Amino acid sequence: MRHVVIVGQGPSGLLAADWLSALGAAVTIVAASEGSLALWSGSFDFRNYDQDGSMVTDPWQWWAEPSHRTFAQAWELSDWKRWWTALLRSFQDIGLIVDLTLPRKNRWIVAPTGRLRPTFWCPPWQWTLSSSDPNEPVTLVDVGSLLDTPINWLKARTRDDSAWLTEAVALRRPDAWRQHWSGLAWAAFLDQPTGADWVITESIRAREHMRLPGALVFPQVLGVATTERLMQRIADAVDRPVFEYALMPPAVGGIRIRERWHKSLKSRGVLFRHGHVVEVTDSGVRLGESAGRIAADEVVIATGGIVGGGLALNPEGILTNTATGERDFFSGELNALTSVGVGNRLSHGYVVGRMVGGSDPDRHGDGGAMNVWSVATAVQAIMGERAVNSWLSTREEGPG
Amino acid sequence: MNGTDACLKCTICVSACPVYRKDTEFPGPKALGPEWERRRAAGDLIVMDHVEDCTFCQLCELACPVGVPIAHLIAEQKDRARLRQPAAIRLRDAILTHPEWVARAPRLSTTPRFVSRMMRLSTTSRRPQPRFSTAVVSPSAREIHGRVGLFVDCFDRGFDQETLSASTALLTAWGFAVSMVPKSSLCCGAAAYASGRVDQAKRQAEAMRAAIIRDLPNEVTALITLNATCDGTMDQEWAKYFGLEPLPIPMMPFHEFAVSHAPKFFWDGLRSNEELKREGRPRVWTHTTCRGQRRGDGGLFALARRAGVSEVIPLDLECCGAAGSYAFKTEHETTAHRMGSAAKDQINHLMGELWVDSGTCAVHLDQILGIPARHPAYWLYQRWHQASALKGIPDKPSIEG
Repeated sequence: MRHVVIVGQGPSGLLAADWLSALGAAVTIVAASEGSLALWSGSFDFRNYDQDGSMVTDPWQWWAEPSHRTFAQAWELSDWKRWWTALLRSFQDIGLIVDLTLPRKNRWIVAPTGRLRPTFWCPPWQWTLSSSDPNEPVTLVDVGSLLDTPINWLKARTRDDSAWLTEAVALRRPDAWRQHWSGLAWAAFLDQPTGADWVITESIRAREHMRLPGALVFPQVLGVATTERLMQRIADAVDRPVFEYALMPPAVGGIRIRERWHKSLKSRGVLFRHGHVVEVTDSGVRLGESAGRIAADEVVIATGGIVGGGLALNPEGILTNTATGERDFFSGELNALTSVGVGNRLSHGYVVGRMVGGSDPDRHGDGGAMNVWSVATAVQAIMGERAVNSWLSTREEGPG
Repeated sequence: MNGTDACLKCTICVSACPVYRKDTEFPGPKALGPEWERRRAAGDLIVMDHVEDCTFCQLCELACPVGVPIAHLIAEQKDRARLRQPAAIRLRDAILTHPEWVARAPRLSTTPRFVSRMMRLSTTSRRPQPRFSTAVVSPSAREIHGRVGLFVDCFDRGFDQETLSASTALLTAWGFAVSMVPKSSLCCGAAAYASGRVDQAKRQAEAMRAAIIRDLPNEVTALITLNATCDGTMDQEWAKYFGLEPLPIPMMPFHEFAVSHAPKFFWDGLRSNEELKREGRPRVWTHTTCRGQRRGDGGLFALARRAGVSEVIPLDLECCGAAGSYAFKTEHETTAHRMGSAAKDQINHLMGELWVDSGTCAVHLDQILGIPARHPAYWLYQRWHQASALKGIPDKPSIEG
């Protein structure tokens, strides 16, 4: 059995653990802190902006253009389709209610800043629009007293744009409410029976004031553990579909995914080890504070680029700690996923995440694609293409 | 303390806090730790409401990407908050932060109801009852691989001699001579630090450290622990926050020692017994306590699998709410019970057992989830005992190299 150590537990680390353990590897995740899922709404970008900053509406078409395949040399659209499907299947396996049909075009979501922005895929609770100039009627719910909600921006926009049929309804604050409540505190309250009863009662009361026939859209507070059940109960009570828009961190959407993913990986025997990796060698990793070594056949570096000392791999294959600028982290050569193809790895260690390949996900909106591509590439190299291909074929949708 | 001002305000600690999810009044680790510290550094000496409601599980510190000692800052704030508390609570906490006293007189854990009420001791959280030594250490001679220390924590000393004797019996069967330390009832300081009695914690820890060094025979190669909280306090916090030198020998939780040191014949014996009666074998749930997660999560799962258990389910629980003496305090009993109840949905089978790496957490989860919860050393011994009796498996290798 191949023993793989994954360093880091953000989206790409958990995805690597998911796919590698599904393929039969013995996986140990080593992380010095929690990953970035609590800062993330759960959406995956494919490609949102062109080099010149213009919007990409059809990311499939964008990636089909040969000149755009700068780092993902080997990937045809059929590869993207297979791996995006594998991602959605993994989300199904951890308990999200996911439609396996891949989006054909980018859709729009309300970012936590209140701006509309494109994205490729997001979890089923997230409210999406098919264009930035929507004409679908929608009722926005104001639970009141949430800091940083986009609702005021949305209301203002509604006034400017008469074509957008939007209305807002306000719920009365629950007795338990406290000034310091973040979206997560709201969600924790709504996970409790008293909270769920409050939101159902208030939604039914607010229904009297709803004049538009569209969806009912809440800020992202509808529970962490009980979300799907709660959304269904509200939808039944008001007789219209219910969605959410994302808020500032702690991001409830990412936390929901993190908790389900952890639970699923633990039940499959994935070991979670707390520790600070200070050296990667060809026999495993060494931990700081004299905490010893962990032996591994392969090491996957998934330390990200968002919080703490994230790592960035540039096109020359040089790895840099983004917090300290330090470059002498590894005692071996790393597989520069940027410049060498699958199977050409130089030494032990694969780097995965949204920052690989000299990519600039904040500018281009391709972070989700980079996660999927880099993790898939590392998984193929570690487990072998034949094993991966036969596993993938069982993950695809049935005939038809 | 290092890193007290490194907070990035990323809120990841808030996302990891188990109290924040169950107590809607709790302001969370970011507000009570680094944000309070910044105000304090600027001269504001006001202590915040609900600071005592932190369980000191330290999951916020494990989550923090920049190493802020969040829980230890909160403990400092608790230290300042103590003076505003009523005398009855101060008296109660004086007792609860000295588990080494309770361990000397475990019968005292059962106080009459009126005394409990007066002292603000929870009347709904189950108190531990002493369990006496039952395991038999086989006298049969075998190859001795070495001598190990077995750390006797306050809970096991006072309430769970059964687990202590089971651990000794197993270690002996694996070929290790066992020395129990410390010889007298002492505390590592965890309970006092958790309640904000920082100086008292340091005094207790110093006495404990001196006693361990005095009582440990020279040839001992490792100190084995049965309680994740004491393990974390001595192995990590002593050096970082108590100003103590680390112990001169490595420490290792019992379940990690078992996986790395128990011989093959032992696992083969357990596994063949497990396979023999696969039908109707109890389901095993595991809970790695909050303080056990310092070393990682999944070790108990690996142990149960190694022992041949076919169905192992890790509880989806970050901190059960027992948190040392937290669940024994009236003002915390509701939160503590809510925290443990989060795993109730996973208990969908009547016959089962729960493996927990801390005795107080086991008592709490046993009560809340309604399944027998014990330290894995106890469960392993039960299986080993049964395997030996049923199949005549020798307790030493039948074929020696």
